[in-house]
Amino acid sequence: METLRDQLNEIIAEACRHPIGSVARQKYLTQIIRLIANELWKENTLYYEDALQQTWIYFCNNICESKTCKAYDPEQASVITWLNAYLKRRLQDFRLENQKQQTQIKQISEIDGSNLVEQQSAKPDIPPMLDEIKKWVETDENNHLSQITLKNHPNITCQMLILRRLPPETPWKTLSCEWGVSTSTLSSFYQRRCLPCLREFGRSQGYL
Amino acid sequence: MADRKDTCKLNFMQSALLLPISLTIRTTAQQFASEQPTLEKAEQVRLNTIAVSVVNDYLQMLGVKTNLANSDSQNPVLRLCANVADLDIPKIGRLECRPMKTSEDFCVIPPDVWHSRIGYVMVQINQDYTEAKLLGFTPTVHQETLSESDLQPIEEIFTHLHYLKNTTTPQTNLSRWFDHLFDVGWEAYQTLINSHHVTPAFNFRGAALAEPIKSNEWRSIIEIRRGKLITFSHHTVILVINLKAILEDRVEINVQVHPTEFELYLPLGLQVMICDHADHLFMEAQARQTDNGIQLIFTGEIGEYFKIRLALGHHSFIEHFVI
Repeated sequence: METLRDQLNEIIAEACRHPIGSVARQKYLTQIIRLIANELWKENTLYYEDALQQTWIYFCNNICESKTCKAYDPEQASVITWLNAYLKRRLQDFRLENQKQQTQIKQISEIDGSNLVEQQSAKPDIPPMLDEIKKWVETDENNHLSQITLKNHPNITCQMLILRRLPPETPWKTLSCEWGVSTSTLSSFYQRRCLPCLREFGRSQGYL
Repeated sequence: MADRKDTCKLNFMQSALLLPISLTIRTTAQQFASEQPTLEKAEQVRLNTIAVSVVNDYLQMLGVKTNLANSDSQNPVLRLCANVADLDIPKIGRLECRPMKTSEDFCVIPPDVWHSRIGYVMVQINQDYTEAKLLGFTPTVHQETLSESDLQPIEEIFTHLHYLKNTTTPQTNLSRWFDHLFDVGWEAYQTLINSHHVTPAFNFRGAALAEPIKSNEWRSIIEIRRGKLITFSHHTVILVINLKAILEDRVEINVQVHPTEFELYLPLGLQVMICDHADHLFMEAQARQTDNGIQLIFTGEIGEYFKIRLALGHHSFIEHFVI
């Protein structure tokens, strides 16, 4: 019975036989991630996931070739040991950064005595974007939205459909029943003809 | 016997790919969620944002170029008006990344995303929003719900992307322009004008094949204009395509050819020809001495094919399009 280590080294060797960015390499690397994701060091800190994400990137870049650092050497250590070492170094960096930030926050609040927690908990009002969109659709200044209609259904316009689908959204099934048109036809119309208008509106309003 | 069964079970359980959800992603998801007017919508957006981001990170680290910024899921207006969790993969299309909670057995594919997608990924998200499992991938959906058994292992997405990238014939899909998806070479008209000092006022030679429209005046909200540089051995011209959606499945296409900054006029004898799928020439124009532009206007239906041929002396260029 093969050990996990042997199995891994076999897959790594296979992966490295294929060029970077090739479908084969992508598949083999995925398989390795799948096998070792549960074997890596775990801890319950706020930045753990960020450190792990960086570790996976490091893995992809250095398992075969030396992209950022010295490439993985199976003679030296198992891939799990190799990655855990990197992960712990990243966690250490985050820990130090976090401590530094905590000290800075403490210093600032000591200086001006303001309560930072108070500032953070001030909730913004429900943003007006929904109102702006509603207004834009209802006004329909140049009758654009009301002139884009579903084929054979001049009564179903983008203006109507957008308004009905703004939160709280009318369910597709309800609209389908009401208008006697299949959900698929309605959603296709919505995606192809109405969403582009909203997309442009978002761009023109500088929301992006 | 028992061993084999255990191995099968192990393989099935191991199909899911466990990935972290970084603090960065959680923060962005929370921010987008806080923009929503209802709790239900907020949770929907939070989960959609996480799902898209996790898939984006996964694809990027394995070398796939993505364009997250161009995805509808990153557009605050579209987040509000539709249930979208797309990721734009340049030159290929939009991949939908549907979230699912660990307490659920299946995920619902909303009608908002039944169309215009190259595939669907299922992403299971834990209660703390710290861990994601990529359960798998499917190129198409045939029903409103998706469960793990409908899916191929997640790595099959690479096979699918590779296939899509390499089997598309070199033709420009104009419907995608309405989705703000442009192939390489087609630049915003304004960019070309600014960089090539083309004056927009023209002395056009051209023709228009416009069908009579029933209403007195029609207008369309979306007009898309893109240009491409075409270089003959001694001359460069700009091919401009202006699209207007006029009815649900009809588009007006305005083809223009302009000279660049160094010339006032088009090269003498430049021919512009437009042919349909049967190679039947249905429009053409030829530049004479003082033409500084050629314009050909026609309408077509979604799905129709046409090609534009530009010829000067011995040289010619053909651009294939499907509306």
